[in-house]
Amino acid sequence: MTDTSLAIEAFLMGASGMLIALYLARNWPRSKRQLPYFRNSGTVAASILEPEGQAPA
Amino acid sequence: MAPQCHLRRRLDRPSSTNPFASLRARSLLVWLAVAVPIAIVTGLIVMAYTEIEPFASEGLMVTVELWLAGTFVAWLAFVAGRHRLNLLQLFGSPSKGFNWWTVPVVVAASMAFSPGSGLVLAYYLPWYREYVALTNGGGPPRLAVLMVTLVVVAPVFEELLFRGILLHRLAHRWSVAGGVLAPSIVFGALHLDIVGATVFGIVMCVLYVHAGSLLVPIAAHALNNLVSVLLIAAASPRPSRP
Repeated sequence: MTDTSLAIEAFLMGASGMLIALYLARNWPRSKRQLPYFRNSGTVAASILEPEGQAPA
Repeated sequence: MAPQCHLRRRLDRPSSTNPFASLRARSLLVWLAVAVPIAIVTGLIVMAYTEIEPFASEGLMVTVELWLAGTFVAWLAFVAGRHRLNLLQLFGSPSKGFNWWTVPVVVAASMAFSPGSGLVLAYYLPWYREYVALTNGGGPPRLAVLMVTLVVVAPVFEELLFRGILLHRLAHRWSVAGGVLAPSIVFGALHLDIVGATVFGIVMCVLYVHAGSLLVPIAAHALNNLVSVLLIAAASPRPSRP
């Protein structure tokens, strides 16, 4: 592999890595309620934050 | 009432309990205990009759992939019934404001990131170079076979397993970060390009949450694999005519 292709590869990796990091930072789920199954449910939402074996308050 | 109507009503009914509280990730071990030996034995039989090389054969890959996917669907049907898991709710429908251009952009970014991460890994880990060389030793792949397994079966099967089941279960059990990272690391470990596939898994988890529908990461995964298959086909030496 030549120096030029390595440089191109490094540039692509850095640029795409930045883009991915930006996307993840903007859309990272902050709570379990945002997960699609729980979000689509509604009735489940109250129970998901409780540890297993405990009834929701 | 017609059976289809009954099934439809049952699938559409929202869950009143959280199935991911009782659906344990370790129950996947039951599926693996059944599927892996069957896949290995079937793969060995295929290899014995077709005289193909291990690791370098799309025939073996197809056999293993189809067995794993088929038995996973059976496992999923069983646990969905047992834990009242609503599969339509798991698939969901894309959010109204979701921009579909996100899909090709994140796929292009993941594909651009992947080769570089593979080079870095190969530079620091000599065994990784040998592993890649071993798995790339096959003849020209058959495009139709790769299309079926990598573009159709693998995205649906892997997204259902890693994003559908494991993301929700481990997020419920541990935390959102644990639910995103743990399945993505396992997903990466099962692929040739470990770092790139782990990052791709994390991106697919976030894309699933962002879009609200499993169809979106399935589409992104299929697009990623389609481009890879076309690149493999374009780079493969054409068979010479006698």
